Parts: sequence; structure tokens; C-alpha cells
Amino acid sequence: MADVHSASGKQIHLTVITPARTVFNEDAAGLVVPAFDGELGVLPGHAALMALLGAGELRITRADGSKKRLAVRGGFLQVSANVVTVLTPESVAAEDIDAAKLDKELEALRADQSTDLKARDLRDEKLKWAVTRRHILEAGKGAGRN
Amino acid sequence: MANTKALVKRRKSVVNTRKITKTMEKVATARLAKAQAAAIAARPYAKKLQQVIGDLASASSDIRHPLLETHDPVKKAVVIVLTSDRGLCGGFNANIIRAARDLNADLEKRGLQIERVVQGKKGINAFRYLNFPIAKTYVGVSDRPTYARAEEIADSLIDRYGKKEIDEAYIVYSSFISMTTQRPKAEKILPLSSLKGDEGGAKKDAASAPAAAKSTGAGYLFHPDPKTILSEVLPLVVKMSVFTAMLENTAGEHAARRLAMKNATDAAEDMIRMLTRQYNRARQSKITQEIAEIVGWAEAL
Repeated sequence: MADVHSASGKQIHLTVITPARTVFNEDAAGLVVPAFDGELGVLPGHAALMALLGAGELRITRADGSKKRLAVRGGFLQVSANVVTVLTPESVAAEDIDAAKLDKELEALRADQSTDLKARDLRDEKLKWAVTRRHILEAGKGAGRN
Repeated sequence: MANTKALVKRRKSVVNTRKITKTMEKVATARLAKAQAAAIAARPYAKKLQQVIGDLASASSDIRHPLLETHDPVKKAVVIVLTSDRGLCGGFNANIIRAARDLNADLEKRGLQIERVVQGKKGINAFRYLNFPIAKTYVGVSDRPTYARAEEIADSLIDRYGKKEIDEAYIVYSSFISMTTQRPKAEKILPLSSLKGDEGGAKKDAASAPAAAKSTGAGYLFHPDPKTILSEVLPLVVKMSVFTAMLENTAGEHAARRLAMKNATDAAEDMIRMLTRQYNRARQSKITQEIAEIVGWAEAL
């Protein structure tokens, strides 16, 4: 992987923006985004691209090899001349996920027995996002630092 | 003289008032800074959204989306009114309510059925007084607007608009122009205005983002096709316009309160100065009178 990243010698500038704040604004050597239908890698020199995202994990590799993982709740990706912008309604860094709070949230959502169709849709949406974050948290624990 | 006693009492009460208004001013200043920071933090997102939509619009030949279509006939409109929960902020709420009434009159003239959603106790009270039926209220949320709440409100609008249950949607709030100026604004959020020009959402950012107009969608790969992406992105515009309105409204509330409290503090200071002068004068004349009396007595002896 490392040699692939350094192949073009250039870097990508990545910004991850939510309505509330800018979550990430740094140079990166490469990233993997959760597109709506599966993961999608972006390396320097990538063709201009617009893609829809799904809820999932955004993995960033910096030039020095260090990694950062973010949970994103869907949204939108734009790649243009080594500038990558991710617009997402909500995003949180893997290390900032509060396990206790998340578990409580999950529990509450799972206990929610709404029968109203709309309320159920909303709950499912929230549940999906909570589960995504849970997975990201787990993945970080299991894999250690790889 | 009993007069001096009354003056002392009154002065004390005004001093207390000043203490309160001064504290409120400080609190409002701190909250304003926070609210302003939140409003500024939302700008990059709004700006990028504009740009992306510009790109998408120029890439797809025929743009059709339920949110862009005007309904015919227009029968029902939703009006969202944002006000504050607390008072003591000058004409802030009164201005918003006036704007809401103007909009109301306009819509009624067009013979529309109006559904009102009101955020903030002040607006709710005013609407009750005016005998406007309210469909939904939100209380205790104006202090810290969250995107989740904006999403919730916008989602239901989008959903019902798509089903043609509603034909137009407006949001009435106070736009934050400067520390001293807030202007009430009635903004149409549905249907979205044309894609090429100003987007329905985040208007104030449109001015600073001419990029939307000049960017070209040429050369992009789309995943999936631009039309599908657009249909996912357009609802975001509605959500964002609700969110920006909330942010601006909160900033405006604190700015208005800060100003109102500053004026109140200044007025209290003036009054204290005046009362102090009156008290001193009264005290002085009392002493003078006493001396005169003593001198008078001494001479009489």
C-alpha cells in the first residue's frame, strides 16, 4: 500500500465538512470512502469524481503513514484536481466515539417499538448510524494499530 | 426631609437594576460569540453545497425533481416561525411576528390554507393572542440549534411536499446582519428556486459563492448518475436553509438582547447620576436650612 501511495509523489487535500463544523482539513496520501454501494479508494491524481456516500467508515492515510478513521453518515464526495471534499450531515473521529453513550443510544433505539411507519424509518436510520459507529469502534479495538 | 429617604431608596433600586442588566448584557455577549461561531462554522458546508449543485446542474441536461416543481394549484402553505423563548431582547420578537403577520396576510389574500409551526415561547404567545391556529410548537430549543432538529423539520416538509400535501413552505426568522442590526425575513424554502441562480437555501452565502455560477460540471465522473445524486443533494439544501435560519435567529436573539441590555444599563446609569444629584442637592439644602435656622436662633438670642 505504502508504495502505491507514494507513487505519484503528490498529496490530496481532504476536507470533511458537516453543517456544524469542519471535521477534517489536512493533506492526505490516500483515503477510502464509504460510497453508497461499497468502498471507494481515492489516491492522488484521481479523476474528477462526484459520488454519493453511505453511512460507514472513512479511512485516511497521511503522508507519514499515520492513519485516521472517521465515521460518516452518508453524504457526498467530490474529487477535483487532488482536492477532495466530503459533505456529510454528521461525522465523528473514531477516537472520539463515546462507547458508553453509544451503547445507551443503541439500547434505546432497539427498545423503540414504534409502529408508525415514519417513526420506524427514522429509528432505522438512527440505528444504522449507531451500528456503523459501533462497528468502527470495534474495528479500531480489534485491529489495534495497523 | 422625607424626600432624601425616598431618593436613597429609589437610587438603590436603580443600582440593582443596573447590576442585573449589566450581567445579562455580559451573558448575552458570551452567548452571541458562541452563536456567531456556530453560524460561521456552518458556512463552508453551505458554500460547498451551492457549488456542488451548480456542478450537478450543469452536468445533467434536464433537471427535474419534485422539490423544484411548483404545484398548481397552490392550496396549502406551511409557515415556520422562529422566535425566542425569552424576552428582554428589544423588538426582536415583535419584528419577527410582524414579518410573520405580513406573510400571513399575503398568503391569505391568495386564498391559501396556512399551517403554522412556531418555535419559541414568545412566538407561541403572540400567535395565541392573535388567534392564529398553530399546528406544531417547539419550545426550549432556540438556544442551541442542532442540525438534527433542522433535519427533522425539513424531512417532514420534504416528505409532505413530495406527496403534494403541501404546496409551499416558508420560514420566518431574523437574519443576522451585524451586532446591532437584525432584519426579520420571510424566506420561501419550498419549492426550491431555479438551480442556476440563487438556491432556496443559505442565501447569504450565495453572494459569497459566485463559484456556483461559474463552475462547470464537465469532466466529472458521476457515481451514480448526476440525476440521482442531485435528487439526494437537493433535500440537503432545504435542510440547510432551515438550519442556517435557526443559527442566524439564535445569533440575532443574543445580539438583540445584548443591545437591549446595554441600552438599559446606560439608561440606569443616567438615572443613577440624576438621582445622586437630586439627593445631594436635597441634602445640601437641608444643611443650609439648618445652618440658617441656627444662625437665626443665635441672632434672636
